[in-house]
Amino acid sequence: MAKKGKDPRLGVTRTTKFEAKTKKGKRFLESRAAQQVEYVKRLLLLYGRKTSQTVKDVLVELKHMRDRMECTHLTRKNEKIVPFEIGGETSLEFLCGKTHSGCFVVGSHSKKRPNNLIFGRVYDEKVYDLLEMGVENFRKAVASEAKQVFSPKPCFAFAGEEFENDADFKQLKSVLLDSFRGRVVESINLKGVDRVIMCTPAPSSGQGEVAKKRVLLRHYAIKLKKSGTRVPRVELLDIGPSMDLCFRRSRAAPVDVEKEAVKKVDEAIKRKKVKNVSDDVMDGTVGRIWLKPQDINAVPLKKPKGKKSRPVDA
Amino acid sequence: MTTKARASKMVDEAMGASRGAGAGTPSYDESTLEVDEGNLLVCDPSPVDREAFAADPEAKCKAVATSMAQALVKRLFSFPSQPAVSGRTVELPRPKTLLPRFKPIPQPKPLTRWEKFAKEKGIVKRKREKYTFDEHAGEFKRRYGYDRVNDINDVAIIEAKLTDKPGEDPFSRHKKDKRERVRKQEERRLANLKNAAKAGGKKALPATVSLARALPAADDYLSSSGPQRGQKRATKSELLEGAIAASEATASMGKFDKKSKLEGAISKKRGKRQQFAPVLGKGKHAVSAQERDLIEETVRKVISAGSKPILDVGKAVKQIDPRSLRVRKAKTPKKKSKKQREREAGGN
Repeated sequence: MAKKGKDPRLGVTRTTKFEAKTKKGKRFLESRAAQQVEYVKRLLLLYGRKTSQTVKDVLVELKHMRDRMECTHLTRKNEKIVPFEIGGETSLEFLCGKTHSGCFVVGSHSKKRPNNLIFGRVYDEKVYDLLEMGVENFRKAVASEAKQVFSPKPCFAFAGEEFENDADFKQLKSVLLDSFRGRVVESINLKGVDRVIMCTPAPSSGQGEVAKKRVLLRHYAIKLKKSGTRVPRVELLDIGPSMDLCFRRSRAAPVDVEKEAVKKVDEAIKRKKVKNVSDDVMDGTVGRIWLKPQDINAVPLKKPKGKKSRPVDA
Repeated sequence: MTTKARASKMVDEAMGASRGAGAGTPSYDESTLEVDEGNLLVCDPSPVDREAFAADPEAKCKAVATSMAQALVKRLFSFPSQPAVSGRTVELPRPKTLLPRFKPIPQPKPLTRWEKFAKEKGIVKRKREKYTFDEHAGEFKRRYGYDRVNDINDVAIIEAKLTDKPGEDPFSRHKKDKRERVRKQEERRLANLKNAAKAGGKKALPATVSLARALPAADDYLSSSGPQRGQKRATKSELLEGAIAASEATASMGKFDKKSKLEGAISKKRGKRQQFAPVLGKGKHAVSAQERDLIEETVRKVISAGSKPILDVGKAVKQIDPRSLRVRKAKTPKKKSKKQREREAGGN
């Protein structure tokens, strides 16, 4: 809807304001509006200036670790995306807004920082935090075994005191959890507990070298075996991808922004129930629609010739 | 300790023994682990066994992950469960780990002028049925919208009232009134938006307005402040030119449109480019005064004794194209072909 107003200087009508014109456009903008109880945080995977095959493979594997509908993978190079530099995040913020993603991973490769991943999040259409990691010892997922897991909601295991004490490790834990946990659900099928993402600090490689902070990132399938009790016995199978990540640059969220962003909403407030839409285990989301009773007489069926009405001979 | 708990502890111990034999896995006491079931997250805040990791990182990592996953599974299986189509579902508690939101918490919708007034006066919105009985049509119809009750478009005759102005068409009056009501409501809506933006900034506006940022002038509701830093302010003449161009921007390039009032404003400013003095004089004067002065000036230049000769003969000669002076030869008639001659002879 355009607002038309008289400009006192010109004495002519001019258009000054734009809003969504169609109902569809309105619905779209409303779907992008801030929510009291938020929907799932989507993940955006994209490339920086230059990439290596390893970085490309890593991003593809990360994509497979998220639900297909909750992840966007942009496969073009982005000259302008250098999030740690001033003004290098504008394009990233734009793309996150466009794909409605709250988390992102930027993959790049340079001589100085080979096989580079930048994990980060967006809050209020601005980059919230950044964490740069180098990929080492990357191994792709084993396709035949990866097929066995299907749950969009993985388990997470973080072992080590560093995840409680070290700022970088803490940030990694937070960003990994945020990027890969998927939907917040009220209930879960126990069969869906079928994979775990494991993170643990690794001993620095090489002697005499300055101790690099590194993390082992592993992805296991959970096999629930009979144990004779109610609780099954857990067996893990390394399905990949697996990689070692070493810490590079990082930027934590500003304190005031963090305070605002990590605010807890009233737990009593739940998302408004959508009418006539329900979730079904087998069928997924099911919608109920109302159809007008069909008028059988009006249906244009093929009529047999014999039934054709003819003028009656007098 | 209940039998169930004892049994599970026994299993844990047994597994710990079988697992711990080679790798020296720390037995996972539930109390040291931090479990966030809502996120399916287990954290072990105790330091890792560096030596064991250095010896065989893969095996050690898997062993630690197994025991942590086991602890989580144990916790999940202890929750009350319901049967599902396949397997059983358990209710999860809300996630404990705080993560940043994606967008700020929405502000409560600011009250409109009417809502404020209604609140003050204690006017409560009254719910009305969607369908009402239409006496003309004899059936139930929607109260508002398409195919509604007492739709003026469906009424063939409107009975005249005493208060009616004579000669006025009631149908067009209805149409006019409706248009006026719509216009006024739009004005009210915009005023409410403006007030909301003044009080609470851009975020107080509905998403349909605040998010429509791809389009120009999205912040118009917020302020009437000048241009942004680094942005050139349009001059008056530029604005005028723009306005005129816009007023002419129709399919016919303004040929059939009313002339804009602005055009006068801008044309006044333009100076005369060529000036023509009148040639003919008024009354008995055959030649006008300006024209006479010009002629006199030229004549004086030519005939005055001291003046340089104004005619440069050499230059003047060059101006003449010698080709134009050439006398053309008379054309000799073209010789006719034999056929042509025959045809002419035959025609005669």
